[in-house]
Amino acid sequence: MKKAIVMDKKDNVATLLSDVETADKVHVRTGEEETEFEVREKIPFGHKFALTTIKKGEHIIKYGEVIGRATQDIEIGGHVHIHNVESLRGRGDLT
Amino acid sequence: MKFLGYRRKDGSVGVRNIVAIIPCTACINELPKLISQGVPGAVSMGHNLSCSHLGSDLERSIWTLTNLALNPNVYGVVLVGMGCEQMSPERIYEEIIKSERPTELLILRDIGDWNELIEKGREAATRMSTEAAKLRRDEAQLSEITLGIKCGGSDTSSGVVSNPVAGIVADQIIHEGGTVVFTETPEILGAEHVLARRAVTKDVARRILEAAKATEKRVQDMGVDLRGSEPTPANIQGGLTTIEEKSLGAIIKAGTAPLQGVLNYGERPPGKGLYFMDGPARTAELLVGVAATGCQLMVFSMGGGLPSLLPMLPAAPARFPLMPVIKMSGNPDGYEKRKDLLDIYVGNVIDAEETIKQAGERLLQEVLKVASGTKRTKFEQGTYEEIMLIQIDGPSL
Repeated sequence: MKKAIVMDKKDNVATLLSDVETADKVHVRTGEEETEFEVREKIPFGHKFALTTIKKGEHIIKYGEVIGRATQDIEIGGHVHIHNVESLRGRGDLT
Repeated sequence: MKFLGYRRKDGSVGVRNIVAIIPCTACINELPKLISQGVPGAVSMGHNLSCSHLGSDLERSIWTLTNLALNPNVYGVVLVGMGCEQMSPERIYEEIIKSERPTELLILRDIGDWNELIEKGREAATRMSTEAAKLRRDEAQLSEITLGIKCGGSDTSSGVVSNPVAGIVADQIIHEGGTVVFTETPEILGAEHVLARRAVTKDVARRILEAAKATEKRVQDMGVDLRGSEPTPANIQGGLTTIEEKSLGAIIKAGTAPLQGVLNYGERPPGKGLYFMDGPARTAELLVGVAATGCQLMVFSMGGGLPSLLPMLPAAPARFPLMPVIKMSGNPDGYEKRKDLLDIYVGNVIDAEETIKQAGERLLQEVLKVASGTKRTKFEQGTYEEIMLIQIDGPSL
């Protein structure tokens, strides 16, 4: 069984506890609740996928807090990582 | 809950019984090596600080060397100086002897001969080592523990598994009246507001926010994106996307207790409970600073990946001798390859074989075994031949 965990109800990403392949069904646990999601692509253990559609410029939420901003639209079930998320902190490159 | 430790005259309880040979300046790092050679329990504690530093860097080195000597795991100290250094041997000595530890001060300026100083140093170290070996452990309470907690080689399993497990132990120790120190200012960026909400006073909240701001400003002044250093390439490979994500996962290791205060690097906490030490995340400097705060032992919460394949700690070649470090990982990926390098594995939480709370109770038992000396950590096995790195902010001249 492929598994993932959501750290807070406000989160829009889940963290995978298994390696997954395209179209794999994943059991997603949020506290005591379990739901099923389909991932859109191959994603390694420990990486994140989107629980909703996330538009470019919207915040990525994990642990109920902002962990960054989408640099492009991310589809539900899509891999969420450095290719489509930027940090809002320690950005000496922007100042 | 109890453990067995060595009672010191200053009221602290050691979990190890070390004779520390400490040079006041890096110019004479060779002396502690020669003095400690073949003396059981004696440790050479050379470091990176000499007169080539200024102002706050010098002050920090003085209190760090002093506080290292005051770590509860230190039975006695042989302090060696040149007599011309800015890190005054007399000043450090006067502070150490207030603790009533056996302490010998040997200054090259006064003795006038390198070989004679080594001879005198070896005599003192041998005498202290013999005395230390006669000490017996006494029962001590969990309230007498000061535990350091660090995460390193992090990936997303750290924030989900091993840091929450460490947090259970932090809460338990604080609940029993003990002290927990965590640090790594770069790794609270994006999570400092969460810690500030837990601060016991407005001043503590202000200090933690300022510590994060000052570190972020130093990054911005370099004109670069922090990503690549924080999170590191290995963190990113493990699934951590931004410093905010890493920080929010990292602070979980310190549990949920109110934040009592913010310490300078190497500063001793003024009370019990949870303290944050403002300092670097790099393990080499961090170990020295945390040992100087008075932590008797440390839990090191690791992810998986390449850093977990090292027999030592990432970014710290040293097997730092003053403080046993318990290596824990909660990442099942490739666990078979690295199980011999860990002291405790908690990845079975992922398969629901164990709850976070049960794993936390198991980690606490491990902490008590290591504290009582019935178990030696992987980190303690092997020889220590490195020098300590003390934090430097300003220029090396």
